[in-house]
Order: sequence, then structure tokens, then C-alpha cells
Amino acid sequence: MSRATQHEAAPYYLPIGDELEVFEAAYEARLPVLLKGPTGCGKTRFVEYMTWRLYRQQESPRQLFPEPLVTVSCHEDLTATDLVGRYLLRGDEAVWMDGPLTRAVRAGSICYLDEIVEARKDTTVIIHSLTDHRRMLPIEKTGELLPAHSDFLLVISYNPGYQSVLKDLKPSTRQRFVAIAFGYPDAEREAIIIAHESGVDAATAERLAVIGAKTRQLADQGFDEGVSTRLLTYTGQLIRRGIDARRACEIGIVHAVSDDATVQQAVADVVDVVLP
Amino acid sequence: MTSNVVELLDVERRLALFAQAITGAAYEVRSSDTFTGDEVVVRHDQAMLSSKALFLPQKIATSVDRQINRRVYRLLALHQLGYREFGTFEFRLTTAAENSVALASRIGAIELIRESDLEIFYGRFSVPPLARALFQLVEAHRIDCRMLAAYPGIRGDHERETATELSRRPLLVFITDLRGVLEAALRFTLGVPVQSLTEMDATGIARWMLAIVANVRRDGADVYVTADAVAAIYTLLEDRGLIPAVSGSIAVVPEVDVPRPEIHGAPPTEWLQREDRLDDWTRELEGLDAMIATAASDAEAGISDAGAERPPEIEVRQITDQRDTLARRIEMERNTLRHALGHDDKAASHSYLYDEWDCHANNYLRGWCRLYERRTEPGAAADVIALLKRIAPHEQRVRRQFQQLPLQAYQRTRRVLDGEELDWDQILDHHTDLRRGAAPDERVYQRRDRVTRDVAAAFLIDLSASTDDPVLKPEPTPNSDDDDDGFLWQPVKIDLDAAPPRRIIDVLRDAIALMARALDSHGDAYGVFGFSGYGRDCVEYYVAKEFGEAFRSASLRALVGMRPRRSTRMGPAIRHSIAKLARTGSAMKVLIMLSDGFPQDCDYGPDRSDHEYGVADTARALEEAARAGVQTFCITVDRSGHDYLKRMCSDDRYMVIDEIESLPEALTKVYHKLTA
Repeated sequence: MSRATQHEAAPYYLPIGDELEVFEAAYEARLPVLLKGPTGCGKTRFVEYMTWRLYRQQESPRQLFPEPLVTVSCHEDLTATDLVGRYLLRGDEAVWMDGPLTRAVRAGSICYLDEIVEARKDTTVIIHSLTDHRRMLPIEKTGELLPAHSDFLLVISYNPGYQSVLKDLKPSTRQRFVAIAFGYPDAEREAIIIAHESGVDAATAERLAVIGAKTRQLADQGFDEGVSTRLLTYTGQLIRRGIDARRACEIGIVHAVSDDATVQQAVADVVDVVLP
Repeated sequence: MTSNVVELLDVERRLALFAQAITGAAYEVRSSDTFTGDEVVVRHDQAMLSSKALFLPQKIATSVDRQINRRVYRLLALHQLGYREFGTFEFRLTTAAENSVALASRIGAIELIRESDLEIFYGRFSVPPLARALFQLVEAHRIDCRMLAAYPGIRGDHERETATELSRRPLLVFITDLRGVLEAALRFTLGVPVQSLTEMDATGIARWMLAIVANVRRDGADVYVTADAVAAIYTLLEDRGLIPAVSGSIAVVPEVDVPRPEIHGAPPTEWLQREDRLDDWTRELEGLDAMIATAASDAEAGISDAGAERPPEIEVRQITDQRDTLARRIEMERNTLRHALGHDDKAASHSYLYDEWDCHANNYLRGWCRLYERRTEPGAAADVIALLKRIAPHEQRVRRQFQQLPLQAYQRTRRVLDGEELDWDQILDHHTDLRRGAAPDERVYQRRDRVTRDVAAAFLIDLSASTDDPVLKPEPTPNSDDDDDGFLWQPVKIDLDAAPPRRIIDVLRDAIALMARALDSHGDAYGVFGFSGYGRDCVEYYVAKEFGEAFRSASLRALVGMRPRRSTRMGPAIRHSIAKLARTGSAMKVLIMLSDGFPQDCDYGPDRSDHEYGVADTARALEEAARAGVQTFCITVDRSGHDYLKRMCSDDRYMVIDEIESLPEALTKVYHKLTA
């Protein structure tokens, strides 16, 4: 679990469709938002960017909010306590400590629960009362029924591609959110992103984007989604720091996307023919 | 010493994946000598593209370096795939005529006939074989240029192989005739400079011709640039009187028979262009269907709304006739293409090669079986309803049995440094220690740890033809009360209204459906698969439900869509299931196979009556499963199953069901035993 970095400068984000307008409209109406999309396609960056637009732009009335975005990376041992808070011993006293969700609810931040389906099923239930007209967080252990700050917004994300049926969102949870679907950008936009994020030249970025697009065509062959934009960017960063392009792809792409030796060889072949 | 020879078997899967990455479509990679089309001749050492398969030489040993030989495979594949990727088969006469005035006058009026657009195009020249030869030569160069631009990493291999090719070409001293002109053009496409070719030219057209060929080197040149070049070169040849005089049949013209470079493999067959055109027709058919549907709904609206204008019925009839004619044409074309290209309906199937154990040679046969994996065609909704009705009375019982399996438990752990809750007993001890001056134990929290099952189970159903047999009642015991054999004197009664007898496949499907619905609420990952096939080159593996999918109505439809098919080649089906289970990454992997007889296939062994071969291969596949950490269990409804199952696996790994109706219960028990 970690607090997201607060960006004073706008985080880089290249829109793919109308997601900026949709998110802003949802925020105005305080509608909880669900972001669906494959791993490494830019969901978290999108939330960071939208937080900047809504909280850090000069004209924002929320400029002085100290912690505009609270991000929780969900995992299978994440409990309701981890989100809401717990009593801690301090000297002879048991002192209540807010969890990240409670902190966001009180402060009017955006709370981003990343990969929500990874959390225990009982955990997701506690967000229900925050995502309907009540906008309340019941804190069982203190007996408090905490009304959400008027600027609070809950955003969750998950990846429907690789989550198994055991880790699907319950309909009762899913239907409390407006959903924005993300995919990988087309090769042209992906090249722009890679070039910006990694600092490689446009030609190299374009080649990496082609490798990404080609590799994704193997998605049903031993790996779920193919290489992500994030991995392509990492690879670009290695190249930028002087690692030979083929070696960087081997480290950043070939070995990262699959453990199947034959799939690795095929991806290595793609890399080998696409790079000059 | 390592051999330099690379066999296709060594790289088959790697190349199939490579082809899929390049084109986005699943391609089988096969040896060229296995091509079975009636209308296309492919040399066994030549690469060739069909719509569903990439044919490559069985082995490559041209270089002493094994690595280079492997890369040659990749180069051959990339060139052949280039015909698909860079739009050779997208050639349409109408577009060609629209794009170019020269082509428009050459093509003239276009009538809809069955030949491919490319064949019709060649037919617009006085010597069609020459037009074809020119097209294939220039198009191969265009594909190379596009390939090198899109995949610059292949340039080194391409340069090396073109250099080798040039060293193999026939001697060319002077360009005096058509063959010389074509050879010069070909050498130009292989990188020979214009000047060295024009120096040999006695015809005076080489310079102009090569300039035309060079047009396809432009960025993004499409197939119409090739067509334009062909028309221009042909006119040039006509002007110089180099077109051969032919009479009678002009299928073969010796003057144009210039050897094609090996790296270019077989030329793109016009049959693939016809196949591509079929997609246009299918879209056209869909459009007509939509028009008919709209007309029908408009007509309905016209009846209810007296003021609305009714569509003229005659027009609807015309569209319907047009639609029916097109549908017939599509069907005929599909049949023709099937014979011409030698493929069947394995569209979009992934294929996998598996070894087979030859017990007589005491050796594995490498890549002996080709297995096609595909989704099951969904069954009828009515069959799903019937199945659900049949299993409903048993569901609760099976579900209860599954509830006894631990699913996902939370175990409370006390005395931890961090946890969800304070542990008040520990806090008391903590304070007590503090008061008496002892060092307190800081572990005052408690937490709930999740204990989960990590099981993946594959249910593999034998879909051999014999599962179509009716379920036989258990044989009466010898101590039956009947004194007489009823058949000797009782008339046979036939109840015409009786429901059709239950078949073995029905019982297998019911049992799996029961299991699946119970398992789905339980949480284990499981897949439902079927297998059959005919011959080692066509093992069929049907997927009704993958491991990660939920068991939804589509899965039920897929399950009832599983129907008796052909033979029972168990070995490759087991091996494929092992591979699929391995990919789940689950800690516990289980394979339960349900069958109704011994393994057999038309070529499962030296002769069909040799059951030992199939049994030995299946036994070996089950051993491989054990080595891969997969627990197996075989359930058969064949009462003579003991005879062969005891040779395939140990006693505790199989079960013979005497009374088939007890299968669901037996299956549940087996699952419990394997996974508890």
C-alpha cells in the first residue's frame, strides 16, 4: 500500500479517446469510476493525470488539498481493516489510526483501489455504502458512520483479461460504478508515449511499438495479454541508457512476457526482424 | 559434432507462433511434401502459402552453420507471409481499372466470372503465361521491398541468400531474347546493378524495363503498382516484338520459364486470391440479408400503418433471388477451393505436434501427431434445457458432496506483530509484563490468514463414434429367477412413442455438467475438453470450457455440442492436456479422462488390429503426466476395461463403471479422492 506521488507538474498522459471528458463528467456528478483494461496500459497514470487536472490545476478550488490521491494496490491479503483503519498500541493506550480509504473519505481525496479483485471478497463489500446515494463509510470498530467529504471520489481498476473467474467482481459491486474501458494504444500513439517516457528517438520508439503490436497477436499462446506499454517503455529506458536494442528487448520483453521457451523464441524472432 | 541440418520439426511451433505474431492469424506450419491440393503443384523443397498453412521444406541444410539454416526458415516464412500482409490477394480488377488509365484500357469491361481477378487480369494479355510470369517476378520483388522496410532485421539474411541465389543462376552473357530479358529483370530484383545488366543488353529495352520494375521499390507500393508495371513492361515487349508467337494451348510457354529464386518459394497462387474474394461475396451476402430483413420489417410496418408506403414486393423478390444465387455461388466456390487448396474446415484452429511412443521400436516418433485445438460448436438451446432437467434431481446431492471439500478457509493466527485486530489476551500479558518490569512481548495482534486450494482439473471426454451407442442395462446375474429365455418365445415389442435410448455420450455429458456446476460454486479451476480425430495428422481436441472461464450458459451449450465423432487416439490428447494444465501454474494438477473403450485409431500402430501399440502409447503419456506433476485418473464405462487399463496405469488410477448411471457419483468420489 502506498500513497501516490503528488505531482505538481502535470503527469504525462496521452488521451486515447474521450476518457478525459468522461472522467470529468463522472467526477462532477461524484459517480464512482471503474477502470477496466490490460496490465500496463496506463490506468494508474490516467488516474494520476485526472487527479492533477481536478486538484492541482491553477483554477481548481481543491489546490490546497494536501493529499489529492490515495492509491491502494490491492492484494489477496488486503483486509477491510487495512483499508478502514485499526487500533494501534501507543504506550498504554490503544489509538485509532485511519486507513487509506478513511483518510480519503475524510479529506475529500480521490481513492484509487488498484486491481480491486485481488482483495478479499469481504473487503469489497465495505465500499458499497460509499458508492451509492449514502456516500457513507461505516467504521465498525469505532462505531462511526463517516459521511464522505463532498469532493471524495472512489476509483477502482481491474484487469478482466487475466483475472480468473474466482477473481471476478461481484455484480453487486460492479454495478455501482461507471466503467471506462482501456486498451493498448495504436502503434502510432504508443510510439509517442514510448518516446516521451523513455527518451528514445522516434524511430526506436516506433520499432518498439511495432514489436508490442506484433507480440500482442500472440496473446492466446502462453501469455495473457502480450507486452504492455509499460514494458515497452522500460525497454526504451534501457536502450536510452546504452544497452544494445536487441539485448534490451530480450530483458524487457522476451523474458518478461512468457516462461514458455518456444514463445520466447518466437517473440525473440519478432524482435530480431523488426529491429534494424 | 552437432549437425548443421535443421528439420522443420525443430522449429515448427516457433515458426507457427512467429507467423501468428506477424499476421495476427493462426497458421499451421507443415512440410511442403504434405500439401494435398488438387490444383496447385508445390515442390517438396519449396515454401508456399495457403490460407491456413505455411508450407516449408522438411529440412534445410544449405549452410554449414545450423543457426543460418534456422534463419533461412524465418526468411522463407516472412516472404510467403508477405503476400498476405502486403495485400497481394487484395487485387481487384475494378480497383485496378479505377487506379490507372493504362490498366483500365487493358482490362476493359469486367464480367463476373469464377476465375480469380488475377487470372482474368493475365487473360487480358495476348500471352497470359507471360503476364503471369511478369506479375510473379515483379510482385516477389515488391514483397521483398515491403518486407525489408517493415522488418529491417531480416536484411542481413536476405542479402546473404540473394547472393547465394545469384551464384546459382544460369549463365547470362548477352540479353538477346525474352528469356534473357526476364532473367535480367530477376537479377535486378536480386540486387544486380542496372549498369551491369544494360551492358549485356542487345534488345535495347533493359534500361526501360528495369526502371519500371524499380517502381515497386517505392514506400508503401501496393499490388496495383505491380499490375501497372506488368502492363507497362508487356507493352514494351510488344513494341520490341519480343512477345512469343503462340498457337493453340498457351498454358505453358517455354520462353518465360525462368527459374524462380528459392528464397521466394512458390509464387502466390491465384486460388488464394479467389479465397480472399470470397470474403467480399460473404459481406455482399450479409448486405443482402440486411436489406431483406429491412424490407420485411418495412412491409410489416406498412400493414399496421395504412399511410406508409409499402415496399414494392417485386423488388424484395428480386433481392431474395439475388441473395439465393449469391449464396449458391459462395457454397460452390468454397467446395472448389477446398479441393484446390487441400484444406478442410480447420479454419482458425491452432495445431500442435506431439511425439508418440512406438512400443515396437521402443522409441518416440518425433512430431508424429498433429492435434488441432478448437472450440466446440455450441449445441441447441433445447438440448441444454433437456440436460438441465435430467441433472436437476442430482444437483443438490453432488453440490453437498463438494461442500465437504475445504474451499478457502481463514485461519486465525495469534501473537503477530501486525494484524487486523488487537489480541486482548496478549495485551493483558503485555501490560502485566510492563508492570512487573519484564520485557513485554510486542506481538499483540491477531490476523486471519487465507488457506486456499490451488487446484486445476482437466476433464477429458472421449468423443469416439462408439459413444453414440445406447447405454446397455447391466447384464442379468446368472442366478436370475427367469427359468426360460424370453427371446425364445416372447414377441418383440417396439414402443414407437418411447424416448430415444440414452447414449453413452449423453451420460458422459450429464456427469460432466453435474460436476461442472458443483465445481463452479466450489472455486477450483477446471477445464472441460473432448477428443477424437482420424489418423495421426488429425487429432481433434475440443474445448468446451477453459480453465479460467466461468461455467456459463455458453459453456453448457458447448458441452451439449460435444458429440460422437471418430477415433480414440488417447496419447496426444493426454499430452495436450498436460501442456494445458502446466500453463495454469496451479500447485495441484489433475487430469480425469472419461472413455468408453480402448485407445484406437486407423493408424495407431502398424495395423489396425494392433491394440497393444495404442495402449502402450497411452500408458507412456500417463507416465509423462506423472513426471509433469499431473495426477491422472481414467474412468471407463467399458466393462472389459480392466483388460487394458491395468496395462495403462496402476489399479488405484482407474475405475471401470459397470452401471453407467452411477458415473456422476463415481466422478465426484474420484475428484474428492484426487484433490482432497
